[in-house]
Amino acid sequence: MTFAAYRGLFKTVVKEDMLNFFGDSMPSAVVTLVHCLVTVSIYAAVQKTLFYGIFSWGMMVWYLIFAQVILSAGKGIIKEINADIQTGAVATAMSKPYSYPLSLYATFLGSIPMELFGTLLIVIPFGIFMGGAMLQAHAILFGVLLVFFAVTINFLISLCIGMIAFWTEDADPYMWLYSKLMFLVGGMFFPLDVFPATIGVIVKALPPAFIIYYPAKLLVKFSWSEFLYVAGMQLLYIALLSSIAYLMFKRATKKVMVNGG
Amino acid sequence: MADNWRVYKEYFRLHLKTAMEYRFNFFAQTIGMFLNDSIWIVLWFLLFRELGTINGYNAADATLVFGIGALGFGLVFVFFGNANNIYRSVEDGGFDFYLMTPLDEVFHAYLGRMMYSAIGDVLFGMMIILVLAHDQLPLALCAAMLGAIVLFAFEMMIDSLSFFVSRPRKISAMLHRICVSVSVWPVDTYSAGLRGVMYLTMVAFIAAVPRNVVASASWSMLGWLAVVATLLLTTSILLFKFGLRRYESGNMMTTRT
Repeated sequence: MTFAAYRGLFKTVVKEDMLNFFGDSMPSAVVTLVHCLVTVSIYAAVQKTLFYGIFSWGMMVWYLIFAQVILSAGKGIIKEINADIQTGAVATAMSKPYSYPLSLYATFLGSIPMELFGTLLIVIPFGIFMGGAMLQAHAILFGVLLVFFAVTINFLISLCIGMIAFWTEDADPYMWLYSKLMFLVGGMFFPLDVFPATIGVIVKALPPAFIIYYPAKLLVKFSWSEFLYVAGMQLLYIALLSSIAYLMFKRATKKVMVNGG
Repeated sequence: MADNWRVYKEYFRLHLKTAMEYRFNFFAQTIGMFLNDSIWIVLWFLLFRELGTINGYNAADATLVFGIGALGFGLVFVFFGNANNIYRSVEDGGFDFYLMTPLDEVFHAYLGRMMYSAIGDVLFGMMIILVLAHDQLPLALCAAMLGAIVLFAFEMMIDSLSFFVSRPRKISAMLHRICVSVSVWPVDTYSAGLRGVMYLTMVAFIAAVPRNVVASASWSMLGWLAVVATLLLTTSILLFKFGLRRYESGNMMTTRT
């Protein structure tokens, strides 16, 4: 019964996005394309054969594109929780016969397929034009699994940040900092190899690295040993963050007051 | 004019009083935005450390572009915080409120809100200008203010779309995000073609051109920037007023006490 409800939520969001594909999904895809364009343009101005000692020009282009695409997938979850808490809609959502966080996850996953489809539709030609068609089938196949884990980690962190609003009534400042930390220690504009060795070791072990850097890197430069390490770490972080989110939600529910009438 | 100024002062006082009601959130938003902007400094330095100088640009230049852009953004959204929000009231019929007073409707509509987090942008922008352009302070502040006017004109044009398009929410959000995110990048590092697009669409006049004004210490260049800002602002006001003729009331009753 409960799983059917989540599946229903997922399907509803997908159908809504399909109906409003050009009005809703495509504008977001255009923003992602523009972000790809400005980021790639900076690198394009530098005539280098090897970036950060690991990526060729083509790899760099695709790395930057995948980084943007992964981060653009399922954005807005913190704002949604924030709005639910501020408007009191969270009380109604909690009274439903399913878990509020899991319902958010179902709608979050549902918002990804059409947006991803729209984004890939326009960034793939851009990537081929700028960096060439250099992707490998097995890297894409296994990379998709890492991207799925990555968006799940992103969701769990966003959920925890959004739930801060139960105490502060506003999670916006934490959302901004999280988004910029993703730029900095997630590897959005540059691979994490840019950091000096000692800092690099720490940064590469943090969750943001497993959301952007590793999945994007493996999509363009696949290796089995790194794939297994990354998938393992992602599952570990999913377990850890799920526990934190569960505990936070349990405490947060005590702060919700429902007045009948 | 005197009426407008009196109303403006009253609104501003009201916004500040509202902010003080939620003091913790106000300071959290301001400090949060300041820190959020500060992370860009680290980003530029890390990026340019790898890439070196591009078309004469280094990390400090890119930071100055970002700082001027942040100050411009902050000024617009502190003083005319309803920018990029008008489409909501047009969509739900709440725009009637701004039409029912003897004030100028464009002026009244834009001062209806203050974005508190934008104070963090203003503080960050001021800090960057004081550190990187202290020897050209008056010029830098004038250039940043003109950049703010250009950004405001863009926001007004984007808002005007809501009078012509039936579901403007996503398109307005898209154009706003593109405008804000692209304008704070060092567009002069791009290839000639892309740079041309940035200048033709006037996006470069929000932060990159003001930075060039400061870098060249040219008051005549500032004059040209003022001409562009005035033209854009006039065009955007005319477009907004033209679009307003198409606005149909939703008969939504709102009061503010």
